[in-house]
Amino acid sequence: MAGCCHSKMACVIEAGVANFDGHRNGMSIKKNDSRERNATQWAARLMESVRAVLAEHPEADSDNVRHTLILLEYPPLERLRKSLTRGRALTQRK
Amino acid sequence: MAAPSLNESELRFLRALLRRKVRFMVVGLSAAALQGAPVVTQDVDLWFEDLGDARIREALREVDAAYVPPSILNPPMFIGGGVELFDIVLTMHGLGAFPEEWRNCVEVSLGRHQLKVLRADRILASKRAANRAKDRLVIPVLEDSLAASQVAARRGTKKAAIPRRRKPSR
Repeated sequence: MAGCCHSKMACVIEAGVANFDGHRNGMSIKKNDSRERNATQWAARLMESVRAVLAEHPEADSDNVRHTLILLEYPPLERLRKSLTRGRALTQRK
Repeated sequence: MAAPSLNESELRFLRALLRRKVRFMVVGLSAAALQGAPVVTQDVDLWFEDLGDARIREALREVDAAYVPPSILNPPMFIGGGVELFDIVLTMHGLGAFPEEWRNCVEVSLGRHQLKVLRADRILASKRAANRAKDRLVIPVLEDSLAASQVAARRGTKKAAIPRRRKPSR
């Protein structure tokens, strides 16, 4: 399944699963190691930023902070696209 | 399957307004989303300085849409041309006059044009002033998001690419 990671856990879990498959299928594990390393580094940077925000705003919800920091890495129109897509998906489900 | 969001008609309409230098800005939760707030919304609220501006009609004609003025039965609306997504905002609670807010807008690039977007702290101010049940639900999210954005801007958050998952090789 092709997709992309948008959260620490998703990245780490997907990288872990990919590595497991790599071992089982005899694929080169080098690529997966690199992906896992990138994902872990990215997640560490993200969580460091979350902690910095929470240090100044201890009342803030960590999920709101984390999701905002992730969205800030996308271009503005992409942020709106995600927001509208979810809103429309909810409407369609009703 | 992901539902479509801003489609070509909607982008064409925004560009038609911007090309004609119509003074308007994106407000509400769409404006918050453009600035990184993790919120959901079903429409894009547009605040026009002057709804009587003839250039708005010209832009609507360009995309085969029309303006329906407000009546007892309906608020002002844009109909046709695939621009029904846009809601017209007549008044913004808790804010200054249009020219005052216009000066403090943030800008989002839309091709060659710059789309004016109400600043996140002003969106929060309007939600606090409106104080409807749906506003009260979203205020904590907007507060946290604003705090995160401000700290991130101060720290000069590195724009690290989000790791993407590649297609597995076969």
